[in-house]
Amino acid sequence: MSIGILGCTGRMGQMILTHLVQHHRSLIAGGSGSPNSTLAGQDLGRLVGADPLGLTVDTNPARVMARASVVIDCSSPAATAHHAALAARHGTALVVATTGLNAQQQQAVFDAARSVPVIYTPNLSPGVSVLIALTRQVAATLGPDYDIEIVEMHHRHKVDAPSGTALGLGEAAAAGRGQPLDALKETVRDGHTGARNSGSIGFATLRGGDVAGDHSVIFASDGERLELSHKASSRALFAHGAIRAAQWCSDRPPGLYSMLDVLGLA
Amino acid sequence: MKIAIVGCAGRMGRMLLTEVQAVDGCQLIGGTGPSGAPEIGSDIGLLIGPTPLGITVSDDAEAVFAAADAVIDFTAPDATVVHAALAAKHNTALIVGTTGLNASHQSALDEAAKSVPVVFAPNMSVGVNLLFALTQKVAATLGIDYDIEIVEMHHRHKVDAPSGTALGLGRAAAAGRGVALDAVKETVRDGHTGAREAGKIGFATLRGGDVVGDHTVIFASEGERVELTHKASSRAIFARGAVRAAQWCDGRPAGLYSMLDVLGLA
Repeated sequence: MSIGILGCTGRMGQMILTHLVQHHRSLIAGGSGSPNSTLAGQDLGRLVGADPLGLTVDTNPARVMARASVVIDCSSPAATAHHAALAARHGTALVVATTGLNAQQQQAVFDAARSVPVIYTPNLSPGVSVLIALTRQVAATLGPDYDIEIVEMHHRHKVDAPSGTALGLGEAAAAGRGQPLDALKETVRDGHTGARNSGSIGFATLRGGDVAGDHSVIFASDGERLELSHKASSRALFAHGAIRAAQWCSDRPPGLYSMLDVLGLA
Repeated sequence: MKIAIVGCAGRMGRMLLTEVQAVDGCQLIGGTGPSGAPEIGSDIGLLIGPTPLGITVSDDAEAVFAAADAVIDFTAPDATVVHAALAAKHNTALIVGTTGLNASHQSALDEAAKSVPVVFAPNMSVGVNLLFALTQKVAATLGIDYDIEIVEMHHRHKVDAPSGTALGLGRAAAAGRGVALDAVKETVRDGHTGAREAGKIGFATLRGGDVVGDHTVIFASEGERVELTHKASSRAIFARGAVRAAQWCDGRPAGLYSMLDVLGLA
């Protein structure tokens, strides 16, 4: 097995490269970056402040794919769509770590999954993936006499609310209840709200400091509550998840997979 | 479903009477106490409120088992042995929350389970049992680079530490890892401890106020932690779980079951 990183000069790409250089040096097949980047041609080891690796940032992703059994893509939505088609052509497994893909770009990813194993998942952190699977299972087990509330906190610069992960957790809870989230979602409580609507899924959003990301799913009934929480202390955990995903899918049959498959939780 | 409560004037017994009354599809048809006890001959309704129900507390357990579809038993080990034999004789399902059973008491339950469904569970709270199952699953999924710590808090009168439930959570985590809890348990941290040993399962115990019972299992790795928490605010949750177990026995084949079976988590 050998791993290539597409978009290795960006923040996520460098984080993944750093982890591979420190723990799995021999598995690195290569890395690609934008031809416009000043880091093109730079040694991959030196790029992350380690000893030289003897491999450099390649501007041609196809060359990286030819050498790798699996690539981790943390480039950009448009580049990812192009990489997906290349991966299918080269028979290279693909882990999509890029976010914000539009419908068309997503379709390119789904199309590639007909020919190669593809992992496409909103959050590569193993802990969040576990939380999503648990939330769905618990929502299905506990029944409507348990009120579901999702609380999240992020740093002061985050502009969207609730977070994508919180909404993902809400989707999992709603799926466990067999209903679409939009029918149940409650994101604003202000003034005289009346008593809580049974069956709704409430969201609460906190912003401040440098919080990397805290999420809690609360199931509250008369007499008890269950709280499933995740706290990120560093974005490095996404790198762990991406590498774990790459190792898992390297010799899998073609198809579309998620982190839940990688973790055995699907 | 016709349900009777043995030992119905005890602390759990009264909660069970209330709970059976409250649940649709359940009909309270009798209750017992020990011969000579003050509640014998009283109306059952008056044990839990101002409204008589026209059913009296009896010391004839046999008659009660003959009339009921299911009997819930939170009494004492020797009484439970008698009840197990009656359940088998009258083809009545038996739900046992009695604690402190030794091997010989246990074998009486095993014997009855050859003829009728018997649910035996020291902790019938739905939330805690779900937490046992989730803990084992997450421990198996997340791997040894996640440190497991179990924190619990109870009221000021509790004399044992860690709590039985905390130890149960520790056993579930150890089972997920395929090890015995005793080999990895760490319950004391005092003074210069040295760095944490990988693979250990740590326990922390807090005592104060009137806390009914809070338990948290923490899985902490570089970059993230997952925390699973249960908070009990009332002991009624045990009664609720017991009635759920009784309903689950309807149409069930003979056998010895746990709350994990009742909840579909086994």
